[in-house]
Amino acid sequence: MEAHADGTPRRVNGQGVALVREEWRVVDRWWTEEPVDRRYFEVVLETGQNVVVFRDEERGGWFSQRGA
Amino acid sequence: MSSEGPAPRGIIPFRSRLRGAPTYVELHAHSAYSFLDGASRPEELAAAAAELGYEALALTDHDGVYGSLEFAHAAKFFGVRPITGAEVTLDGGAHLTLLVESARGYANLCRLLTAAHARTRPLPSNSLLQGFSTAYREALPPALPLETLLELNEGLVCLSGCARHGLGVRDPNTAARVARAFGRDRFYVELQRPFGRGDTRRNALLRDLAGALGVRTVVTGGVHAHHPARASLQDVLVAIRANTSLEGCEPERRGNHECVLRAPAAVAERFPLDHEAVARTAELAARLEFDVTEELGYRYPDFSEGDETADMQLARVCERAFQERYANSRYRSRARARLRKELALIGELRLAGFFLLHHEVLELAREVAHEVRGPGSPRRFLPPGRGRGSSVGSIVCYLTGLSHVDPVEADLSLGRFLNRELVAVPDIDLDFPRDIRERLIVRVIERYGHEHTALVSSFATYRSRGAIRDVGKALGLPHAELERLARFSDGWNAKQVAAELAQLPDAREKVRSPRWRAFAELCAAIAGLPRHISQHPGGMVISSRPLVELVPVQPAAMAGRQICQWDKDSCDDAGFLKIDLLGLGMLSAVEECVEQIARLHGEPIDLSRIPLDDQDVYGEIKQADTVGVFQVESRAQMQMLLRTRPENLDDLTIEVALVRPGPIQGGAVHPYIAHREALRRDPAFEPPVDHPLLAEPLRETLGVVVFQDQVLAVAMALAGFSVGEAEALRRAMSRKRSEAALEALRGRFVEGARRNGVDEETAHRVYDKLAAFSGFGFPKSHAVAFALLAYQSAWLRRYFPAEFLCALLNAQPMGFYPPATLVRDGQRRGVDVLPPDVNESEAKCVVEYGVVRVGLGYVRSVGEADAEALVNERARGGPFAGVRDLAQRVPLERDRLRALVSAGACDCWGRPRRELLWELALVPRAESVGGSGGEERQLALPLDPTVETPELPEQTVWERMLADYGGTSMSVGVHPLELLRPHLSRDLVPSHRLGDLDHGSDVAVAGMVVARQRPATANGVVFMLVEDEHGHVNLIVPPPVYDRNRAVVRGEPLVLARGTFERAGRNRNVVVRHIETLGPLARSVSRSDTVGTALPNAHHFGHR
Repeated sequence: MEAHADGTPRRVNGQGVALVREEWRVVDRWWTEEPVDRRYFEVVLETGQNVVVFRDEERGGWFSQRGA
Repeated sequence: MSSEGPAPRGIIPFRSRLRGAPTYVELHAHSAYSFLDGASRPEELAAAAAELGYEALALTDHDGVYGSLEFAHAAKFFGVRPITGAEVTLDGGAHLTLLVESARGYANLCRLLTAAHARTRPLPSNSLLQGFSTAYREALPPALPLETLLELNEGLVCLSGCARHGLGVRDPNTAARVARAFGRDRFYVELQRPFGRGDTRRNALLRDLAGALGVRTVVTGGVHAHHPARASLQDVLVAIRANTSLEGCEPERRGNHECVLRAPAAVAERFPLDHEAVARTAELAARLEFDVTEELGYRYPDFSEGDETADMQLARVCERAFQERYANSRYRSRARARLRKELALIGELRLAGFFLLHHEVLELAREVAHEVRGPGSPRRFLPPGRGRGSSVGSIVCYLTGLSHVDPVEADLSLGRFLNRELVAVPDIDLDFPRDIRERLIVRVIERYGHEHTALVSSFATYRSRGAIRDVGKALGLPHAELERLARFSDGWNAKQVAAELAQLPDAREKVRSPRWRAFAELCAAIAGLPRHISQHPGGMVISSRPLVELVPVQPAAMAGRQICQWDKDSCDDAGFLKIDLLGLGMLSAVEECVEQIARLHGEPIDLSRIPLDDQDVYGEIKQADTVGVFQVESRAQMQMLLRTRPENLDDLTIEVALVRPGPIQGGAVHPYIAHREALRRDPAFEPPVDHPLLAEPLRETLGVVVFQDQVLAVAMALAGFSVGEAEALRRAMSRKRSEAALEALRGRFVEGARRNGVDEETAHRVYDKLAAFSGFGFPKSHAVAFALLAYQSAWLRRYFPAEFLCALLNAQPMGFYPPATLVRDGQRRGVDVLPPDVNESEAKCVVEYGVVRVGLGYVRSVGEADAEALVNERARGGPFAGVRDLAQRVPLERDRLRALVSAGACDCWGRPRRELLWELALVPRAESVGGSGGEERQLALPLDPTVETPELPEQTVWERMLADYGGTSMSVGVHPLELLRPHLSRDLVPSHRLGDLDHGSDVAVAGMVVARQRPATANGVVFMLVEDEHGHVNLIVPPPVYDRNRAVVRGEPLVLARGTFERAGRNRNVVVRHIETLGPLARSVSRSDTVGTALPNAHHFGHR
């Protein structure tokens, strides 16, 4: 994963990001031992593939979400 | 990861276009007055907006303008221009944002919101309840009919609504109808970016919608909190609203913490494709010029119709009364001059209509009182209500019947009530017996019309216990632990919950849990936020112009009543005429006492003619023998009475006003007592004052500030304030949201004092005392009115003790003591009290042959209607021959009949209660025929029981006593301490022997807890009043002892205390070192587990 300075993804799995279609955020379960704080992106890769990735702000690191 | 790089296609870096960035104005923000949705107070939003650089901000709470005035004043204070609006819910549930452009628009908004609430309180479907004016109606959500919106759109700007529920999203076709009605210049499609999945697609559709409708788009934030730190609370509020846990309301929650007020530039950054819609907010805001603080246009009824002006009408009313009241008075000439002066001032201030309106309300009250009391009632001599507050300082009020105190004779000043610098109409407060007040409220609404009058609202705000329960439930914390903490919790202030949590034995474990940590933080965050709207105890507003164009009006929970959306402070800010119609339990008791006296003695008494200087009455007051006496019965008042020893109505007036938070916090109490004692020793004693300029204003209160009026007098004398300035100071002190205003006035006060030659330190010291007084004190006129009622009640108690006790018991709940204590006090004074009896008692308590007979309504679970049904049947068919006869003739549920037996109301047949209960269970009774809706009944066959009553052991004395307490909340027989005494250590001192002890000696006492006080002004000290078989003992529980024994102090009915006996003057207290429960001993001696539940709960006052 590579990202721009503003946090938007630039490359996903080695593929360039052609378009960020949507960005959303999830902050939940903050009252538990496992709080969720994620910044999601739905992107179109240069290959034409549509993927959803998120940055986990709690634990750090990027993840891709299957079945999006 | 790279820090720079080309932007993905489709996203244009917005920052580059922000140079010379358009100003953004937030046009959609919710405060905590969007109940259980907004997480910030209006002033927090206003302050945050100022800090973030907003030029203007709109408050758009759900279906209301509850916080609009509070917000507008706060926003102006912080230099932000307030815009008034609301987010309305249409029939079907879609939302629209309405913003006010003009005065016409504001009137329409109020009408629309009134219409939205019109169907929120339908009458109960149960037809039996429909006739009852006191029936409560369940609330439905507000819903505005679309047609009403289309009709009343003038002066309003409409935005298409929020991202989730907006009309533009949910129903574009209806949005098109609304857009046509409002027109292109007043309808905008609203774009929001809550960072939810689907924002891009939704906003694209909304842009398309705007294009199709030929209207423009505008960006809004859908703000629900003023700061990101408050966003978690917003989640919790959603859970509370849904009555579930955070886990249980995921679909309703927002899913992130983006709904907070952000800096204009940060908002603009979120809308890279809509920079014009961002800029348009500022253009639109510039058009929304309506200022709710300036342009309301309120007018009170002016009575100017016809030939006679309002001034002339008022003069005529006053003159007629003047001729009656001052015919032979030695104050006649002074009164004449005073009347002329007041009428001239009233004319100048154009307030004649205001006084006439009050006069008219009082005339209505007379009519209502006549109806309620019935013709020829002995209560006819009593006024229908009594003035309190500043109104009684006016001769016009006296002559128009609004006050019963002659201000000329009582030497009361008009200053605070009316003056040339008057900025708001004065309040007039009227106290009524409860029965008259209930009827009068409905009559006033009928008289002036539903569009012109409403009750003032009040907002239930979060305090400790509510916060613990609601926040804890939302976080999914165990119910039992929350209840334990709620019982343990002290205060009103939910900010203290974290500190209380830290005192629990398992605090360390809890701190490790994120839920409990969040709980502590969120309880502090929710402290003081409004939870829901309710009804002010008695404030009504009346308007000449339809009130529904000035503030939305909505139905109250109680049928027949409606409330406006503003509380007392907002109504005050709006300059509304407010009449407080307050119910006062003691007035009800006095009225009933007068009735009982007339019935029993054949001669009605006229309380306005009793001597006001009866030294036997003052003798009891000086001895603090005042249980049940209005205003001077509390533990604190009794201790004060023993030291101040009031000898006349003037002394009593000071007494009534002295034990109040204002004088206590202002440091007036101890100096007053010391000065009074010094004056008793040396009649030439001159009370010291902070500055010679204060000698005269504080002369009657011996150098200290006791009355609210003296705040004005001090400000005028020391700092040279005008009447208007001094009144502004008093108003700032009396409001809950006035700290900033109070400090702003300090500078003017100190500066003025310096000009009068007062040094700065003294000026600050005096101001500190005034600020500490802070409005929690009585005006003198109020104290005069209350002192008179205190004296009248003391007089009735002395000369008609049985009738007075009977009336007090019937007027419960009221006063400082539970009924059990009133009964014990009556018995000590020689009044015989008999228990309830199915063959002797009425529904209420009555006096018969000089003895108080407790009413059947006192038996728990037997309601007034049940008691009356029983009494009526007895009147019809004669006394009941036995429990079988009772059960077959009276249609009471069987468990209520059991309650009558258990409470001793069937002891008249001389048979043990257990035997009666056995028999009752076997009595055949008529039963309803199934399917007939209770209309048809199967009669019981008159058969005798087929089983014999077994030999049941007699109840013990303990069991009977506990059954009495458990069944009626009182016992007229043996006291629990009398039964416990033989089992207690001999070193325990009974209450009547305390006087034999030396000051400072060790002592142990035991008793039943009657009252418990934890005043905010006492630094955590708890005062307990315990009762034994001989009288009362005052316990003082210092904070460390309290902290070690909270559960005992707060919950145990029977206690044993060891400590030091203290004698201060004639006061006797035990300062507690150790306190323990007598519960286990009592349970063991009585062989009963019901000791804790049967004995009455102590009354609790102040902080918990």
